[in-house]
Amino acid sequence: MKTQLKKGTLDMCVLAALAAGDSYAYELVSILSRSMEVSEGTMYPLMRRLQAEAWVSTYLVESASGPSRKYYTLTAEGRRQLVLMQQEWQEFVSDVNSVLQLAAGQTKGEAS
Amino acid sequence: MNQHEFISQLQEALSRLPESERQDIVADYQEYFRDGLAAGRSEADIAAALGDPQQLARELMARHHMARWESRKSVGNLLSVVGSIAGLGVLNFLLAIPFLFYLWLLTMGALASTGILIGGVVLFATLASNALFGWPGIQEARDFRTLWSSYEQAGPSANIHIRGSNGERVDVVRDASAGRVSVHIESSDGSVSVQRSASEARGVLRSVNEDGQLDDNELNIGISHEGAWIAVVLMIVVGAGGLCLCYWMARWTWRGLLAYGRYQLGMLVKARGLDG
Repeated sequence: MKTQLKKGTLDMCVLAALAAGDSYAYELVSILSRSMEVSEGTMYPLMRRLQAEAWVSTYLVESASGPSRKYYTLTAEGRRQLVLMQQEWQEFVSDVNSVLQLAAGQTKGEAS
Repeated sequence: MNQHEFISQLQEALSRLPESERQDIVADYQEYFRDGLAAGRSEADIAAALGDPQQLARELMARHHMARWESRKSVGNLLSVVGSIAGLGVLNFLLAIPFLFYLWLLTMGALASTGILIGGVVLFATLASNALFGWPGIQEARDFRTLWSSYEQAGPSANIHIRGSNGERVDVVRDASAGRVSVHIESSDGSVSVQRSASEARGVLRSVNEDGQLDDNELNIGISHEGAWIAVVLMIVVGAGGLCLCYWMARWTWRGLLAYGRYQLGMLVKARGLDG
């Protein structure tokens, strides 16, 4: 259950992380894995999918030490998508919470 | 597995991708290894976290084929999609065989419909051209019943005897007592003769073969004018209908296939999520 929930919301989490500032693949994984368990293997195909959807775009940054690094940035469409996903997520969470509270109230009522 | 092994396996498995795209993917993974190493992890640790490069490549190939199919729909691209989804190892091979058979049937159906439609259109053009300009000439079998009715109008005793300059003969003889008329056509050397009785719907062709024996064959009356038009219309309707049906089925097939491919890719991601 937890894995399925995570899979559905991973797109949103990545978009949200990018909304805070442009980032590269390893850093994105580090940011996400601070608060949740992320499989590193899923990250790259996921980033390519977000690119294919045109929600993120990439640019290369030359570094003084070694080869250039690929940064990901949100597109306007990606920002719109993130807002949409956040709204859906909030609605979903509040729906679930109200059901849980209702159920908890009923259980208490039966117990007393 | 170290970085070199991971990268070379990935490169090998992606060999059918366009050069630029392959290098882009490989560069991204090299960058990931660099960052991981800089963070103090071992190559084996990073490679294990990234997963099996073969499986990774299969997934990337499947996505590549699907994107190509969406941008340009050709039979080759469709087969690539089918192949790459099958290559993911999630599409049961036994499932792929009836699916390919179905695709083959669909192709045959489309070809047959196209053939019938083209035939109908060509015949239509021929008949229309004949009706408008009298060209090309169409050999139409005489309807003996028409002949009979005009003969009847001519008078009760009007038998017709025609003799050609080379000895051919055509006779139309009425047998009033039997209530029938017979038509007799014979060639000069007697090798071919056609005898037909107007009350019947078929004629008898008698031809003398080389051994001097008589062969009796049924003489098929050629298609009548109205019949030809009906056949042409039928051919066009059946051909166009079949083609529409095939096109419609193909549309739904490729939509379904893409949806199935996305679903399978989703399953893969989920499966790897569980592993990781």
